[in-house]
Amino acid sequence: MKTKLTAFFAGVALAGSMLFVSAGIATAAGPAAGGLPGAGPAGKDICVTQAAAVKAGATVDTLRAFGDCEINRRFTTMTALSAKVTGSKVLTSSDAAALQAEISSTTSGLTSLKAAIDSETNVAALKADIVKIATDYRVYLLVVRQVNLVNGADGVAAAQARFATVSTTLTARIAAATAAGKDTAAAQADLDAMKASVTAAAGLAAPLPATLLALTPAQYNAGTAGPVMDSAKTALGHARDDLKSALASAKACREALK
Amino acid sequence: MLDVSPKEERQGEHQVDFQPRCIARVVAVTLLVGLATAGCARSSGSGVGNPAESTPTAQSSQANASTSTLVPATIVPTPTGTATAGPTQTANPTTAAVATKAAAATTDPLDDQLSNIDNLLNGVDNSISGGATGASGGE
Repeated sequence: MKTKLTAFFAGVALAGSMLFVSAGIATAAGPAAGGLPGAGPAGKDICVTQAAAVKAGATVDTLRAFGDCEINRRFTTMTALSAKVTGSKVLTSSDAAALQAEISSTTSGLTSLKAAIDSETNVAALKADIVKIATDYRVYLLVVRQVNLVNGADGVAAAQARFATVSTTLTARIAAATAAGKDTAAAQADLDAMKASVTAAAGLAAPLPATLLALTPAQYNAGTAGPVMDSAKTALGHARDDLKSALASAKACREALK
Repeated sequence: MLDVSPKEERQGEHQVDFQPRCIARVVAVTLLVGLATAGCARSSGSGVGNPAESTPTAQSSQANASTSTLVPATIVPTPTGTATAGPTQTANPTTAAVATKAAAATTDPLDDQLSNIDNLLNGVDNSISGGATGASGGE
């Protein structure tokens, strides 16, 4: 009995920690989090009342209210994620479809879980269901990160295409300047540096969508998905830095031709 | 020797008198046309006012006067009214748009291209922030 109670409070603590890591929720929900306004109820006030009621007395009613609150905030997050995928100008159609499918299946699963919680009359079963809200879906630890990181990786690919246009423009200008008798060595060096940086960025970002989309909540629970996402985030950061370097090189090339 | 009757002499004088009158009429008509052209140009505000322009030009400026009235402020009349004439000087409502396009045409296309990339990089930045573990939601 004591073990079960410990497990239950661990579950509640897990869910309750969602409430108190408010900065994290705010990051997932706020505009700074990849443009996800309203992705999830942010702040310490979310489900605080329900959590306090569970701590005061774990009854069917208090547990159900807490579970419903946690599921509802995930529904809000799913809606915002779906809107982000739909509105993204950089996601490839296949990646967008894969993400929408994941969002849809997660929402569907949470809907079923909510129905189970709403009809459950056993306190122990309710406690187990509440823990599943986090462990079976990993909305914030997996799905939100997948959407953001895949979107970022596809953003790098989109930038690569834009840099190709810039490269064409600068190449033509260098040719014209050379024909006019101007020394274009510096400009050419800048252009070469730009191309190298873009190639490096594209190489880092290209494998990320497939890797990220394959991750599952079970893999996260097993401890394998988290490091993969951390690594993807690091690679994406390097790709971003490479693109910024490429942008600086492009501007330097233009200046060298003036 | 050629005999010239008095009557013929008078006719000759009459012919001699006729030429100055004809020239005077031509000059007067030309001046009137010129004045009319200048007047029309001023009243229309189209800047078409070269007195040496032909009548069709004047008609053109008159026709454009209605356009100018319907769409004021599409063109600013030159203070002297001596701007070069022609169809391109008409008070076309798209003049402002053309001017804008011309200004845009002088903009370096690289500016837009680099600006677009900058925006994309901001999006990547936001995606990285959203993909951070800090966005765990407490799970």
